[in-house]
Amino acid sequence: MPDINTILFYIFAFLIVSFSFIVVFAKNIIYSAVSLFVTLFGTAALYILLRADFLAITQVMVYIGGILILLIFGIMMTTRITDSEIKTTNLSSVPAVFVSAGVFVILIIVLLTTKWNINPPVENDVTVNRIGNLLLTTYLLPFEIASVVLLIALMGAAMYARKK
Amino acid sequence: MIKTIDFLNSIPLLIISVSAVITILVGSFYKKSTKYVYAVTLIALIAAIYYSFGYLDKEYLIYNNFLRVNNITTLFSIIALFAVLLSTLSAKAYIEKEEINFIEFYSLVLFSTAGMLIMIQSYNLITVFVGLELMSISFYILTGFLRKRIKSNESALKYFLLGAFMTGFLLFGISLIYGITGSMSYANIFQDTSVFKNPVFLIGSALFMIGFFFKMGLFPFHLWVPDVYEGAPTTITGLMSTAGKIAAVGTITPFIVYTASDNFRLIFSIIALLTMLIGNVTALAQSNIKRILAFSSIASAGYILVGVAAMNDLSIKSVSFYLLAYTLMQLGAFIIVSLIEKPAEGINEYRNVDIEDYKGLARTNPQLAIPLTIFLFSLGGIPPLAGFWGKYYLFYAAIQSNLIWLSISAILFSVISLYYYLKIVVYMWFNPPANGDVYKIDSMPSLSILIAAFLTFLFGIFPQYFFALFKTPFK
Repeated sequence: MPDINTILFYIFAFLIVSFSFIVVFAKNIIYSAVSLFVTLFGTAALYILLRADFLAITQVMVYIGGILILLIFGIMMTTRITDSEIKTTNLSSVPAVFVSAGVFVILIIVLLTTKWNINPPVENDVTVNRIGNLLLTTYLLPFEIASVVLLIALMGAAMYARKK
Repeated sequence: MIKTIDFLNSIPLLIISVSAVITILVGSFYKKSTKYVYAVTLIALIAAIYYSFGYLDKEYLIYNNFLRVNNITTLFSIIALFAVLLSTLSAKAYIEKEEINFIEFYSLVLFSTAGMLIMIQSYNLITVFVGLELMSISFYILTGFLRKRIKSNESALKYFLLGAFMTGFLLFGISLIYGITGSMSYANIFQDTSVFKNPVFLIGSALFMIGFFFKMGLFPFHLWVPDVYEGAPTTITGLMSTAGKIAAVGTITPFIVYTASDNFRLIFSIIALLTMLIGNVTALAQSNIKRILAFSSIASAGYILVGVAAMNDLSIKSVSFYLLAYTLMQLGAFIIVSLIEKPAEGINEYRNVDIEDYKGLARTNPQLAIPLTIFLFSLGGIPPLAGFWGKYYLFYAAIQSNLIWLSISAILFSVISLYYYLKIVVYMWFNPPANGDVYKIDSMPSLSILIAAFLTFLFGIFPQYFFALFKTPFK
C-alpha cells in the first residue's frame, strides 16, 4: 500500500500533465490560460509535498498571482481593442511531434536508467529562514546580479514606452 | 561570506558595474549630460582593461567561489572589454546621426559588459546563467533602440522571443547537470571525471551548450543572426557580433575543453562544417552589407568551433587569438558601415547599406575604402593580416587532433568566402562611383578605425606579441 505522499504525488502529476495538454491543444486561448492555472497550482502542490514551503508560496505568488493574471488581462485587453477572437494554431505540427517524441523517449530512458542522488525529505519547520540567510551570504553575488537584471529590464521597458 | 579581498581581485568588474549605475543615476537627474556619460563610459572601459592586465598569470577564486580569475578568464575579458571600447568609441557619432543619443545607451552597454565579465569569469552555473541574462537582456533592449524603425522593433522582438526560448534549454541543461552532480559549482562538477560519461550529464551539457551555440550563431541555431544583425542599429550589431560572441565563446570553451569527451568531437566537427557551409554559401547571395557581415560572422563562429572541436592544449590559445583578430576586422568593418549608412526617414529601412552603394568608394572616400579593404582582406584570411594567423592557429589546432578533413574543408570554405569579401573590394576600387557623396567622419570613429587597422597589421606581422602575454601556460 503506497503512502499518502505517493498517492498525492501521482494525483497532482496527472493533473499537471493533463492540463498541460489542454494548454497546448486548446483552440481558445482563454481555455489555455485557465488550464495553465491548474498546471501552475499543481506544481506548487508538488513543492509542498517536497516540504519546500517557500518555493510553493513563491510559485503561487509569482506565477499565479503575477504572470497568469497579467496574461489573462493581456488577452482580454487585446481582444477588446481588435474586436477579434484570438485563436491558437500550431504550425508545422508533424516535425514538432517527431522532435518532441524523440526528446521525450530519450529523457524517459535516461531518467529510468540513471541512479540519482536522492535525499530523503527533511522534516524541518520552515525553509524561509535558511533561504534568506543563504541568499544574503553564500549566494549574495548571483542574488545581486539578478536584481541588476530586473533593473535593466525596467529601464528598457521605460525607454521603449516613453514619448520622445 | 564575501571578503574585502574579493573586491580587490575583481576591480574591472567593479569599475564597469559601478560606472553603469553612475551613468543611469546621472542620466535620470541631468538630461543633458550625454557628453560626460560618454566620457565616463570610455574612461571606465579603459581603466577596466588597464586593471585586467594586472590579473594575467594570477589565480583567484572570488565571491564564495562564484567567480574565478585566471589567465583564460582574464584574456577573454580583455578581448571583450576591448571590443566594447572600440565600438563605444565610434558609437557616439552613429547614435547622434540617428537621433537616439540617450544616456540609457551607454548604461546598457556597460551593463551588458558587466554581464559578459561575470559570464566569462564565472565558476558556477548560476553565475553563468545570470551573467548571460544580464548581457542578453541588455542586447535585446539595444537591438530595439531605434524605436521608430520597424526593422529595429522586429529584430528586437525576434531576438527576445528566440533568446528567451533558448534560455529554457540552457536552464534545463543546468538543472540536469545539477541533478546528477549535486552541485552547480565547477569545482565539484569537474572533480569527478567519471560523471562526464553519464547520460544525464551528457544530455545536460548538450542542452547547456545549445544555449551558448545559439548565442554564438552556430548551425542550426543561426537563423536569428542575419535578421537581428540587419535590423539592429549598426554599432550595436558590431557590439553583438564581437563582444557578445567573445563572451559566449569565452564561457563555453573552457567548459567544453574540461568536460567534453571524444564523443562530442565528431558532433562539434559536423556542426562546424555545416555552420561554415551555411554561413559562406548563403553570404554569396546577399547584397545587403549588414547581411553579408552577419553571414560572415556565422562562418567565423564555424571556424571558432573548428578550434574548439580540437579540444587540445592549443584550443583556447587559438580560439582567443582568432577572437581578437575577428574583433578587429569585423568591428572595423561594422564601424565603417555605420559611417556610410544614412539616417532613414520615419519608420523606413536602413539606407545606403547595399553593396551597390559601395561602388567607387575608393574614389570618393579613400579614407573609408582603404581600411575597409584591409578588414575585408583580413576576414578573408589573406596574409600578412591578423585574420590569416587567426585561421592558421585554429586549423593547426584541429590538425593536431587529427581532424584533417575538417581543416581541409575549413580552408576550402575560407577560399569560397574570398568571393563575397573581394566582391565588395572590387565594387569599391574598380567601379565608377554610385553617387558622389563624401561621408562625414568624426574624430572618434576614425580613431577606432585606426586602432583596429593598426592592430590588424601588428598581429598579422607579429602574432607572437599576443602569445608573449602569457608567462605561464594555460591549464
